[in-house]
Amino acid sequence: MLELDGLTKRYGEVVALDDCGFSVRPDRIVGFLGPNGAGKTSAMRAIFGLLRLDEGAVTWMGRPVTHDIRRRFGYMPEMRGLYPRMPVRRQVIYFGRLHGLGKAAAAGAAERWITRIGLEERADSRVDDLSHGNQQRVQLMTALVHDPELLVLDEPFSGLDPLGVEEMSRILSERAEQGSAVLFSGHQLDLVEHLCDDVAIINQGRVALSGPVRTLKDRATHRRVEVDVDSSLALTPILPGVRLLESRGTRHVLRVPAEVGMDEMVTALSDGRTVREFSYGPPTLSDLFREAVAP
Amino acid sequence: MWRELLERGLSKSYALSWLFLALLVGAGIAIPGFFGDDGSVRTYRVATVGTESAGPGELAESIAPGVPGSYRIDLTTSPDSAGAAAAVADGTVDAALVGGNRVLVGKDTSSELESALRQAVLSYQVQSMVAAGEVSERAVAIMSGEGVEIVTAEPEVDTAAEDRQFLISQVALVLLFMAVMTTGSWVLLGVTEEKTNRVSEVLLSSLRPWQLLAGKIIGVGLLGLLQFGSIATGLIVAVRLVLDVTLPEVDAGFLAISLIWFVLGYLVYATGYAAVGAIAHRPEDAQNAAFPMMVVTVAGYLIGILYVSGNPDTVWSTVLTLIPVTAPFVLPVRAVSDSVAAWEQVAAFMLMTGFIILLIRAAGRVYAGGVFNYRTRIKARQAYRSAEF
Repeated sequence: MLELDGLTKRYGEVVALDDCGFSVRPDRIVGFLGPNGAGKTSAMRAIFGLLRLDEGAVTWMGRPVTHDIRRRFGYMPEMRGLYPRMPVRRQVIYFGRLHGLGKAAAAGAAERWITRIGLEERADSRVDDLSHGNQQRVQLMTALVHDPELLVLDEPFSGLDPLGVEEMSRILSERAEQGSAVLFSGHQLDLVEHLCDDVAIINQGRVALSGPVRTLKDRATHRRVEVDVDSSLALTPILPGVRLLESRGTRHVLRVPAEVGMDEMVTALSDGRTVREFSYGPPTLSDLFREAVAP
Repeated sequence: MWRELLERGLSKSYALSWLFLALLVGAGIAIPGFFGDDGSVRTYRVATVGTESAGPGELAESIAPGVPGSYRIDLTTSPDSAGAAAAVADGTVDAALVGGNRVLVGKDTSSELESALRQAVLSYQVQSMVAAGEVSERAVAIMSGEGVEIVTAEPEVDTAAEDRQFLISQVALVLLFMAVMTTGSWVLLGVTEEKTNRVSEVLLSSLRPWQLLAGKIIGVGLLGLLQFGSIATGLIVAVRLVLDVTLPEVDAGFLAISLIWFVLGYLVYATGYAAVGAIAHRPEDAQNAAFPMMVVTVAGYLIGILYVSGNPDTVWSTVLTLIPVTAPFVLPVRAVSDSVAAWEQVAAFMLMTGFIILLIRAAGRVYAGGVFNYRTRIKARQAYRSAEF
């Protein structure tokens, strides 16, 4: 298990990480969320020793992360880093070798991944001759070629088309099923909600919320109600503590205290209105995110 | 290291640099054939007046060297001294011999010819006196220098061998300078490219900065060594086969010293260029950032070739031997003339080795501090202080 414990990093007056802590377990996918500049990249760099921490520690299976341990990790940084003139196959082999694979093992793994990703016909093409999406695939292969125990990806879905997103999601799920711990950052909250077992939401360098997605939703202090009624709700008080989050025509989204039950809400909304559609459930990840990073 | 060898070794720029150096070597061999010495011999025309001048004239003609790059003398006769003087004055002949003991020269007569004619007249007179029994051959021999023996108290010095080694040391300096400038720019651009295309961050997630730098420096160094070694070998073969010149033998110890300092010099400068590459923010900025390094390289080279080679025994030369950035350009030059004491060699080597270790660590820190700074060039000191790992 990867544990980030009390990570603190300051650049003069600017606090990049402020007692930041969460964990990533094997077999699990953790979505790392936060507004721009919240400290996601800094925390990810700290995992790879690319950041000198003022305080705190990163451990893997209870031990400090050493150079040898780090070679068993896979990393895909936010800004993609590949040798533009190096052919795809050679590039993947090279990164496999860097992570300690033997020559034959690296070549074999490269072939497997090239086939798996579907780049056989471009295997001898230079990386800068590939499309953005294919370059992204090559970048992913370089992070996966050595079957890492921990996979860390900084915004891996950025710039991918829907098919690319689907493929990337499938690969991350497979890695987790095969026992790897997977941590990735992103801004596509629906995708993260769909894909991740756990999330960690960071704001201003500090983890505001973390844990299994299901548990966080169940433990939330509010519920989400979506309703389609025949009259406006905007200026109408419904029940104490109920807040209108958004309205689009006759459809409305409400934030409801958890202690307000579904029947009570239906009764309140039906008072003088016709309710055409009604749903009551836990908040979405977007709701949790908004709550966590609210000023 | 292997990536550097494979990728750079198979790159177009590497092939072009080969081509350039090969052309340079080829031109170096071919150009003298076009513009240099064509094997011709300067010819002086000398007029002789009277039968008394025939002997000295023939003697002058016979002792002229006549080898390529030298001169020979062609004789002609003149009926009288006035005609000979007129011929000298109007340049029909270069000089004239009159009456066996007078040399007529003009304002354009070369001192070389004048000296040769004077020598011929004197020698002819002495030969005549010996033939007439007016003076003994023994006396002539004594006057020619056989009467005294000069013996040097110091061991005999093979000056020809020293000259050869001096030449080799100069060649070693030029090669080191060219190698540092060429491979230094490879290291510089390699580091800057890895920084700007963001590969560094991926590499550093599994490598330490010094490992990354060392791999790059060794890989580029091997490529440079391969290139310059091949060019030097090609040059030697070409000189022997094309110009038919037998190259001198060189002392093995001196060669070893030159090679060691060649490698140490490369390591120092390549490490410096690697650090500079990390503080530049894009390849176009790298050359500007490297300007101070280039100044140091050129200064080291000029100090070696202009000052130390002429003053190998001075205190300054000793000091420059002990300074790591100048030592590679200084020590081989001083080693040629046996001007460098054993303690200096040991001290210089230890200082150099220590300096390289410190420099690699410092360059690693500068690299670590500069490699994630993508927006502007930062100062080396700033990068060193802000090193994150």
